[in-house]
Amino acid sequence: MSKKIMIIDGGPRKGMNTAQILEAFAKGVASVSEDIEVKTVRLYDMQYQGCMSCMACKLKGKSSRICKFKDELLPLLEEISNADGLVMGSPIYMGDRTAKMQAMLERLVFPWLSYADGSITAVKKMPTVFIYTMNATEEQASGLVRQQTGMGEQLFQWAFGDVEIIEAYNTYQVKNYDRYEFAPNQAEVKQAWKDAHWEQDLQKAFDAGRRMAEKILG
Amino acid sequence: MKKIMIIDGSPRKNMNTAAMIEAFANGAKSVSEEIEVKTVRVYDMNCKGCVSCLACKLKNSKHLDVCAHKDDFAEPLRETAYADGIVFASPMYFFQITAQLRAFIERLFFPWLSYNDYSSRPPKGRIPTAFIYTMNAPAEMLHLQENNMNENEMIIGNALEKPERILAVNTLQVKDYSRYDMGGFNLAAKQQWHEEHWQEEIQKAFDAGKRMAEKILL
Repeated sequence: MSKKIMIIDGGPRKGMNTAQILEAFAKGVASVSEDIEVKTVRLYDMQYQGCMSCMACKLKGKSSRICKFKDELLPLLEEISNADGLVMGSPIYMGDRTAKMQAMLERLVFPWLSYADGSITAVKKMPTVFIYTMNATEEQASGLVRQQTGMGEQLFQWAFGDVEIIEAYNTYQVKNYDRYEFAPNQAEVKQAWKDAHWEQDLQKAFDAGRRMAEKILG
Repeated sequence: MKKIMIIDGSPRKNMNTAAMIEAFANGAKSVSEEIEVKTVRVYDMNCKGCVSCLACKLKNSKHLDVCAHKDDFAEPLRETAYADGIVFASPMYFFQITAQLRAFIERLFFPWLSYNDYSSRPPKGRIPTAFIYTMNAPAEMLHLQENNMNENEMIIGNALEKPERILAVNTLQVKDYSRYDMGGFNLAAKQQWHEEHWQEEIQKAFDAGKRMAEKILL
């Protein structure tokens, strides 16, 4: 039976840092086996909102572990629920994952929460990785970012028992720094950091992809 | 005339968050006819968070006051940036404000942030703000919400006046509990809490509205 890993791209820009690091993850998976299907979905290309509090997932006798709100996101939520591995990649905006990613999380996880006994149970357990890219340095990220993103990760920890987090700091944010009002030496500082670290960041994602593939084929 | 903008981050039109907002608005309007209060429901708009176009960071950018991206948020973002007071209101979903409100906040605050010196320059300076949170969680679980509320308020406080926090805890989530698998809650205790405290919470919102209006008119 063929296995499937869903890669959810919560970044707005095509081909930039988040897209690149998710691609590295996909390559890591492919390096282990070509029998694992890897599907990447860009959330910013879809129209949907977060949880509507319709509470349909909590209805007596009809409770559901998959969101019931019919829109463009619903088929994706169903696909994720039945996958074998899940990767969520997002840039960090003001210390947290993008609202686009957070909206998907609300819809994915709320149906897992039982209001009958407080337990959190996913449709299916699967290895899960969060990948964050950010302009912030590791030092800056350790406070705000860890605290804000932490609760979302905790939910997956409770549901799956196993969550990996990969962070790429101090990313190169634009293609041409000359056009922007950044601090005077930004281009050089960023370039130096990029030269020294970006390949390693991609490698971390590649290795995580490999590990997930091995785990799934286990 | 002075204007208070209330950003309603809740999906439901007549439930707890809406009631708290209405009380806040009534409080503000009770002070003076010179206070206009306008509420915007972000769930009624089909919008994205920040798309990282970085137009607000271009050299000589014309978009330092309001996000350049044109969609349903554009006009409310302009109105909010030039208001005399701002109120954010959201139910808590898994210890965080709704993604839909977060999307609005990304777009409101990012243009004000200078990437040159990391100062924040809202067009009307440090105007008063408030944050209304409503949640199913009881008071004993507030400590779990504390981190994200603090970070939230810090982000807002970096640009504007630090928000006054207005809480409604242990809210009644649905109109008829008998229709739902919600046996995990002690409904009688919840009902009792509601009877004893809901009017107080509404009054707190009313009083906060009054305080903001008075501050604005000073």
